[in-house]
Amino acid sequence: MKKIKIFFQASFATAKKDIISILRYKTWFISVLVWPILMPYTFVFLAKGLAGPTNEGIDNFARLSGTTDYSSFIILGNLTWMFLNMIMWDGGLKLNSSRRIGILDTLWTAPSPRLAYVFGSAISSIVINFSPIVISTAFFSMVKIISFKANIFDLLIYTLSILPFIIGFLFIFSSLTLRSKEANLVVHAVRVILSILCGLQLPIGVLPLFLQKISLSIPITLYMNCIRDSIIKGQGISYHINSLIYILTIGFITFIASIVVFKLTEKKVKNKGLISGY
Amino acid sequence: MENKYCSKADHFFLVIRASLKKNLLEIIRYPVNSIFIVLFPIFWTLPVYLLIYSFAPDGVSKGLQIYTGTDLFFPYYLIGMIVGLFINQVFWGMGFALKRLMDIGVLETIWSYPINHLHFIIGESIYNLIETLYSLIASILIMRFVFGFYLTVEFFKALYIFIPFTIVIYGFGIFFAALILQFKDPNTLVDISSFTVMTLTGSQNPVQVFPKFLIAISLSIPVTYFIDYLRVLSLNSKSLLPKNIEIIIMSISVIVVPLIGIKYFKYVDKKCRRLGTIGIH
Repeated sequence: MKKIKIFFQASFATAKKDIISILRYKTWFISVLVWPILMPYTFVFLAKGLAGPTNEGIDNFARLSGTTDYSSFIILGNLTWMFLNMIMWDGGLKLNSSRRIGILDTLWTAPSPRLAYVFGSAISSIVINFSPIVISTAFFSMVKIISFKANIFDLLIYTLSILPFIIGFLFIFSSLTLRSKEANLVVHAVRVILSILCGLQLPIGVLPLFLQKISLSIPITLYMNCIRDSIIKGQGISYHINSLIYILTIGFITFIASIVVFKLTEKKVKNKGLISGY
Repeated sequence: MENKYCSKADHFFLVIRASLKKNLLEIIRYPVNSIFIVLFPIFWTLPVYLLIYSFAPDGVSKGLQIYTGTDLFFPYYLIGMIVGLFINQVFWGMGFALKRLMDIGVLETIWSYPINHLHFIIGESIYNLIETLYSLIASILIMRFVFGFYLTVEFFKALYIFIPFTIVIYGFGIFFAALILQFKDPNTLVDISSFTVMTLTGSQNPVQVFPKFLIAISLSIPVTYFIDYLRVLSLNSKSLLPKNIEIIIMSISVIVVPLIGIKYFKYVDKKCRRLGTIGIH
């Protein structure tokens, strides 16, 4: 019990530190409030250029994605991508940036669980990034760029169910950044691979069949389908009950496995003296 | 008088050389980064390519034809991508280099050297320019042979446009570096300025798809005309404004944009030194 208390104390301290550093910069509101509105537009404008003024060039997209509402499809995908991305990478890259500015070894010698540093960063990401995503979704539906037909509680349940998988993924990624001092390449590669495989910025129908099968086994793809079907088509949670069970099962397995991986890496890093140095 | 100018020129090249050497040493220290420089544009483009593919599998777009008069989306997009990458690299090279030096705590030391600070950031960006060329050539080859994106012969004949364009983009870059010195948070500034200078200038899509107020903003950014003119020459697409007017706007911007950039940089540099905020981040 005491261990759990210490873990959460350290996590909240890390989250507080991260939130203070984010709010330290005057431009924080741009990245948190303006960027989630601007970024999806990049893809919407590109799609509009391809679709034409009155959807003359949309046939192939509609066949692959199952909807002619390309704006909603692309915006929801991009907002989800942005939200998951920030949680997944922030914790891992925070370790890397602490190493770069020379405080990682100091943090590492503190008498607190190291996993809490990563978990704390994930909490700060969720706190800072969740409301902007909600605000931008509300904005896009108010200006009638997306058609919002979902039940909000369904969306909340889907989002809570994906968190164990995302946090597990974050712990595994953090282990990698602890071992490797050049994490950028891996970050960008995995980001793009996930974005493609999970159909976040494009319809997965565009991928070869064997990749589509892999894609449908990743919880993020199913989560994305649930969100899109709820918001665009107004489908209730009963349509996606099997997906929800799958997301939760894989999520918990990933979460537990990731703790084991992190602990093993922590030991290895300590033995090999890989903490300091950049 | 002559000696004074010689010494200034020597001084300029000395700073550029030192900056290039510093960056080269970093590349040797982190060799994986040199692979990353080539792969970055591919990573960045792959989801976009697949999205384009989902609309126009053969690269021919009816929608684009209606907006611009050409239906060749692959070369249309590739021209925008080349210009966009160029813009991004100069922005990152000038602005982010300063932030990185702030983070690792050496900017204040470098700023106290008896060098012209403007020369220093130009030096940083020249290294970046070399890196950009390396990455551009690699990505054009990969885009050609892996994804089937191609450039027309006319594009290569129109490459001279990049000379005035480089001058303008350096003006923007110097202005941007000054913003970093002032506001200290490059990620957000890079995101927003990339959106403004890349998306709103029509590097990825025709400007005609924007709502009217965004078209007005787009037409007030000189970069829009460089991209449009390159596409007009390469793909014979419809120009946004009459060609002569576009040429006049581009010519004026070659003088005005760098002047504003340099003036603003000098103002911020002086202000930061007076307030002692160079090393703070």
